Amino acid sequence: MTAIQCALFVLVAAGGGAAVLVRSPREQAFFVSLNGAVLSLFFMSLEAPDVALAELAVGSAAIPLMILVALAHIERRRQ
Amino acid sequence: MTHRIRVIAFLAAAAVAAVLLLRGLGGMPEFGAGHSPYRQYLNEHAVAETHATDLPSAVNFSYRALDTLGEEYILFASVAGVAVLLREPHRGKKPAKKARVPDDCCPEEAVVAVSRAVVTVVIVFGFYVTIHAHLTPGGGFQGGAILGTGILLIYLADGHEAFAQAIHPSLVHALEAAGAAGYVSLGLAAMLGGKAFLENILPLGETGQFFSAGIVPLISLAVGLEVSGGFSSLFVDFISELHRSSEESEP
Repeated sequence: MTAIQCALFVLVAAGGGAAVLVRSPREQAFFVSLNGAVLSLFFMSLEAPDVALAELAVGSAAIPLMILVALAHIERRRQ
Repeated sequence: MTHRIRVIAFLAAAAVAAVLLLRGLGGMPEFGAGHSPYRQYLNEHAVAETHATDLPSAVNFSYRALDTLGEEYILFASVAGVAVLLREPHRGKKPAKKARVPDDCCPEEAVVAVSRAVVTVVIVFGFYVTIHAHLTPGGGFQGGAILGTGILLIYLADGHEAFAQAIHPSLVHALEAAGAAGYVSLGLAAMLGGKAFLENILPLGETGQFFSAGIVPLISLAVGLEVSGGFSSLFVDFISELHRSSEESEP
């Protein structure tokens, strides 16, 4: 395992942990997205660009956007 | 269940899971050292056999095309399930009046500017990734997800009304259906020619050219249509449900 892979491994763990430990849903969406981006870099470092691209599109863009749309609606209803 | 019992149950379950996990981890190959015979075979023969230079696509859309078909229909079924869940309570009611829905709490100018600037690029890139599956990393799943995200950017920048004008629900449902039907038709076409289901029926062409690798790019396009259609139907159903329920709660 190279130094870059080690560092990315730690970042993936940190990002996943942060997404769980942070309690505000909006911040969680942010950390889910960040974790997706780091995970995608990690897959790149393992020479798996296909998986990296899938993770980037789904994990760091589509899922957080869905969460944000849901949160926006909940907030509007509360008002 | 009291707090105490819950903690005890958790600790017991966690201990069992930890033992199983450690046993499983102990039997894993060294990091980066798993050399399966299947991988060996693909590295030696896949380019010559399929004329695709992106081996994951060659596996997904040629060697294991049947598995990918199953995967595609899992997505199809889940999107259909979400659609049924979201639409059920409104069956038989008259369609929502064209009441003026207050547009979404005016997004930040920066969000609007960036979204409008990148939406075309994202959609073109999604198509590019989808139809170059046999040449470069990516394929129908990735491209379809990128297309779906691009479509959601329209909502993010311009709100529900612009979104409803740009993306008609029947359009995304047609995309999804075309993708699902196209995949199966490619398989059936091979059977009509006396070959196995999803066996290649087109000329393989010259390796590295855009028109090459037989049906691999076509299957990828079908998957791309299905995934982008599925993603956007989820968005469309979800978003129109949000707006319908907010219309009902605000008379």
